Amino acid sequence: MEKRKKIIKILIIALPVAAFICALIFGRYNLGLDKIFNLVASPESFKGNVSYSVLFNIRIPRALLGLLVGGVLAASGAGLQGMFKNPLVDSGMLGVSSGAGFGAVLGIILFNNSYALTILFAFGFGLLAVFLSYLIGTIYKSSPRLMLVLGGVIVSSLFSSLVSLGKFIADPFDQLPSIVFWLMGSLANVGFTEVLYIVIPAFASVIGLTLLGWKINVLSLGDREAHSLGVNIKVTKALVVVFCSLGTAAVVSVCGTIGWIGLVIPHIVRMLLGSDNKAIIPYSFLLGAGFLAVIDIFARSLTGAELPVGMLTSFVGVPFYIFLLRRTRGGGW
Amino acid sequence: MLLEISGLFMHYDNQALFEGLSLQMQEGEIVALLGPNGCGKTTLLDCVIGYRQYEKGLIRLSGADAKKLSVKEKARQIAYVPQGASHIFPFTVTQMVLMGRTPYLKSTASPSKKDYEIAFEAMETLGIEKFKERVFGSLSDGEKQLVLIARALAQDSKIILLDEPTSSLDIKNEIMVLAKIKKLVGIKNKSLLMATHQPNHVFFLEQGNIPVKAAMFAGKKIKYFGSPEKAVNEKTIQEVYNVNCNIVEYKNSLKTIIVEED
Repeated sequence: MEKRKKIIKILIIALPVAAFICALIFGRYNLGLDKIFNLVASPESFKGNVSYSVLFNIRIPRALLGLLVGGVLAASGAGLQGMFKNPLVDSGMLGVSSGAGFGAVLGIILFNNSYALTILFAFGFGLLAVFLSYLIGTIYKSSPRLMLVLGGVIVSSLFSSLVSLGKFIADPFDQLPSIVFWLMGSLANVGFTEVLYIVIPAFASVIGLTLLGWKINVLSLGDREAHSLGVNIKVTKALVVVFCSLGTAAVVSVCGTIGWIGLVIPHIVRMLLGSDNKAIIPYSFLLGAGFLAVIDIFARSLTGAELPVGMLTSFVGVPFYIFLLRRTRGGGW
Repeated sequence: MLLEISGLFMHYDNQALFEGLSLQMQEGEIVALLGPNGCGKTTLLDCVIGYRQYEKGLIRLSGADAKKLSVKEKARQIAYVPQGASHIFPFTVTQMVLMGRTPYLKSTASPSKKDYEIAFEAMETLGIEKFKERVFGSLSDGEKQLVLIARALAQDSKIILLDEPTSSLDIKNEIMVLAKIKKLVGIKNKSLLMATHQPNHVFFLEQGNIPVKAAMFAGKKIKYFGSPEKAVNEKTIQEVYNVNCNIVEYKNSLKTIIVEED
């Protein structure tokens, strides 16, 4: 049993590395492993070459971003599932994604595709949405966990209707396509700048959640028991929410809403490695990272035109989720 | 005095729940909380662990005002066994018992090897070490209760609160759990505050030289408090539960309550 877990852990650790290498090789421009070695060994001699720019300006940043985004979405999904003691929750639950969506729409309309401002708006509104959900959650005290979810639902629907309004008034030839593409989620058109934007909040979020792992275990027993076991439930929950929304808002702001990863990946990890969040959170990060990086390879090479990766994750995610529900019905739950 | 509750006042939905409730517990004794459904047994336990706030009054733990202790400090002094658990995630029995070590961990740490040893010892005391790899949710209700008691034991506190630990159990498991509870006092020198539906439990616990006191709710406070025979008799049961009964002795020692129909 323990040996099996060890092998699984090694495989999960290897996955993002393998996915990263594959993401450099595969694509419509052919780059063999030998060529990549040459490029990395002496980048100076290839400057100005097409292969140089494909590798360093497109594939490497895009692969890194895929890893970071998938990892953060999965890790914060795991953290929130534990905190809400609800395996059907993901990081979109608190309104982050729809808030960020509205921020992006607003940025696109107001600043006419100014890229940096759109990202900033998406990030800011993502966090604002969580804060609003939290405020709604404090109105009625007796069941704060449920109220926070309810707050998230309310805030999400508010921002979704604002997004619709934004689409309605946006310029149909220039702004509307960027809005639609943003909302579908994509890793296209990103470079090292975006990776730099999100690397700090992403790692802060994953490391913070991992450190809180044991307390999240205790929180998942329910408020009364967690309190009696010496966990300050208010502070711990607030920290979980802060770390999750920080990471999620950052990644969503650069690549749009990408569904299913935050929901499905923690489930897989829980099935493979058991219920301890101290393991679930970092391994969800690794598996989510590898998963999105692989899906993105398909997104950009399956057809002639780029497919939105957010759509593909659901395509793979939905059948898998149904399979999972069937499997686990007889399991420990 | 290990635990001292004095003059507690509390409202719930504009209705008074406690009006000047007082109760004391000494080291190494069992105090059984008795009273009809909805009288506030669970709420009182919530107040003692600090999960719910009371309006007036004082709860002292070994002399210190409980309100001034942090959640962590309090958890080192009081463990709590809930009424039966419905947990979502499939934790193993070992993980469940290990959670009892949480008040001793640094805030970002996981249990150490020593914590594992303490948890295993607690499982051995309750005779559940053979389940240690099982998923908690797959155990029977009686076994689950033992796991929760083992967790409280791993918490290494002087006081353990139990909220109707046998309410969902059949007779065999009920007696089994009560016997283990007695062991906590006899062997581990714990002090227990235990809410229960069953006045008969007081008489069962009393067997075998364990100091037991009964605390009967009536009129929003503990009206009858003291030795079982003093607090639990035909007169007090009639007043508290509105039930006519006789208390008879079986084989000249174990008392039991025989309820009369009107």
